[in-house]
Amino acid sequence: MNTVSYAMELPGANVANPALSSRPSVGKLSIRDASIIYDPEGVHVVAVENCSLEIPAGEFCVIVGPPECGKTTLLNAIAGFRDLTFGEIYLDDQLLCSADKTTPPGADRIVVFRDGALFPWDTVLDNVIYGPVVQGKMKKKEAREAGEELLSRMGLVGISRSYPGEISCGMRRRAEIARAMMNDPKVLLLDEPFRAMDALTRTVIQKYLLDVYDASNKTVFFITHDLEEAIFLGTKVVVYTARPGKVKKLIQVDIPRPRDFRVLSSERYQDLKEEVIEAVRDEARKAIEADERKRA
Amino acid sequence: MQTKTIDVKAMAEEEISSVSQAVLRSGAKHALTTSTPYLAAVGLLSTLAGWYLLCEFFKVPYFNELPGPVAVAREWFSRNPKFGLSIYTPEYYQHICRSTWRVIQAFLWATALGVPLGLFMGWEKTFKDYTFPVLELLRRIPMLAWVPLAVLMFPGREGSVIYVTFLGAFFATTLNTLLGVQSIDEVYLRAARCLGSSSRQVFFRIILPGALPFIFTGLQISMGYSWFCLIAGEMIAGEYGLGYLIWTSYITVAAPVLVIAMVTLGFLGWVSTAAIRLIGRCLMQWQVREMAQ
Repeated sequence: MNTVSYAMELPGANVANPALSSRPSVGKLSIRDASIIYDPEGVHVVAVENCSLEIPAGEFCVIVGPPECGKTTLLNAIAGFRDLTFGEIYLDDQLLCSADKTTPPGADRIVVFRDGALFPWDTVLDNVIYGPVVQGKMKKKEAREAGEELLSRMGLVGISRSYPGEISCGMRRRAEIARAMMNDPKVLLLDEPFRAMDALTRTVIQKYLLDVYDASNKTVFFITHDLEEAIFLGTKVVVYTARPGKVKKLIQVDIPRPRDFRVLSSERYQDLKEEVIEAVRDEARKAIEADERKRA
Repeated sequence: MQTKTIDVKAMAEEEISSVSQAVLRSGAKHALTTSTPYLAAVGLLSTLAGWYLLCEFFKVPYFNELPGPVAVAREWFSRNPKFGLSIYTPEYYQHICRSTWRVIQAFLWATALGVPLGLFMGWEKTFKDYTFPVLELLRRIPMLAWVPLAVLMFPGREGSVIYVTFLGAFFATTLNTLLGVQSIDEVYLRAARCLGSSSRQVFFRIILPGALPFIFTGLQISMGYSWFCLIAGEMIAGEYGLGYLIWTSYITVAAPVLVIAMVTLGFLGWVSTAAIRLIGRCLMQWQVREMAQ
């Protein structure tokens, strides 16, 4: 119960000024000179090259870049699914990942996967309470109550006993974010979570994610190739280069929070969007050219 | 806050029960409003009619040895059967019980050994690398080829028949279970590890339910193989049982009995497979409901 009340202090739609909520002290990510090379002995594909990035605790950091530029590879390294070839990644100044060390995946860094990974054989509620129950942090009954509470705050009422296959894509995404938040993670890793969604649903779910973020101030590492989404959600937008991926440009999004759809028509938003498009366009062109060369 | 939680629960329950009622209603309706059951009846009846016309009405010479449906029915439902076997003679049920009991034993053994073996093979790659070639090789040996060896291996007749029946079911169950584990999307395993599961929890909460659809497909196939191998075993080594009955009817030229035994086998095979499908549906509500969407 504690976990959840911490995670979602405030109900969904009307979030009080987040400046009042204390800045979190956990969840600082530092990526230092990280390089990831697939098959170094053989084909030698450099997926990530000398990537350095500081993400302060509680920051919403969005990574944008052309396809196959190593964004997901970097996320997988943070999550513990793969190791680095060079460099280090620290979480709260503790070594998470380096050439000789990988910390196995754990509930402090929860991934929301690209195409969704709710377990189809468990009900929505059983999915949401999966983390705390298997970790032994909560009794099942207690977790159920907390889970129902969290689901209703995410606008998911009356579907807790449905199976993921029975509900809509937008509901599934929200349920998956709820499943992540139940673990009170230090970092939330989202890999293009809204990719397969129609534009209308996406805007609604984005708002839910913003509410969750504003209420919890978790560190968020969010991958997308939707530039508008990047600026609307992020505190910091990191433009990635085409493969080999490294940081090309950092853009601070100084639009105040809580944000809503009015942001999209503001002048500041338009300026930032132009800036990001400028930075990304070059890389997208390079990626396309590289792809064409490969195919030729 | 407490009341709110309860409200949510009550609403959820209401919704689910109304959903399940709708499914039930549509299920009952479904059975009668679609053409499926009627077409099935027509197909069945015309097959019987064709059989009757060929054997008993036109008496086509080619089908001389095949008793017609009327002759079979007369024997089957007679209080004084000419060849000594009908629904009124206890022997009939003795044969059915013996065969069914053998299949059940063999099937349970095959499931109890095959499912864990398949799960473990899918779970541990090293173990799979050891065992898979052996399994592939043994699987290729036709089950009938095992019968003489089984008779030599097992002192009693019962053991050898059950062993052969077991073999037929075992390979199908094991391989389908293995396939089931391999079919599980990697992303679920990653998600489970992310959410802090131990290996044991991954096994019981991801691998097992994830493989279940394939396991049940395998069990249906293995039930078919069981009956197949049972008859082969019973023909050679049996005492009692439908396979034995078929064989003795052949030797004593009791053609109606032969047909009775065959139709009974078809019916038993159908019932047993349907039972497995039903159990599967109960265990995999998530799939049933997904498909109902």
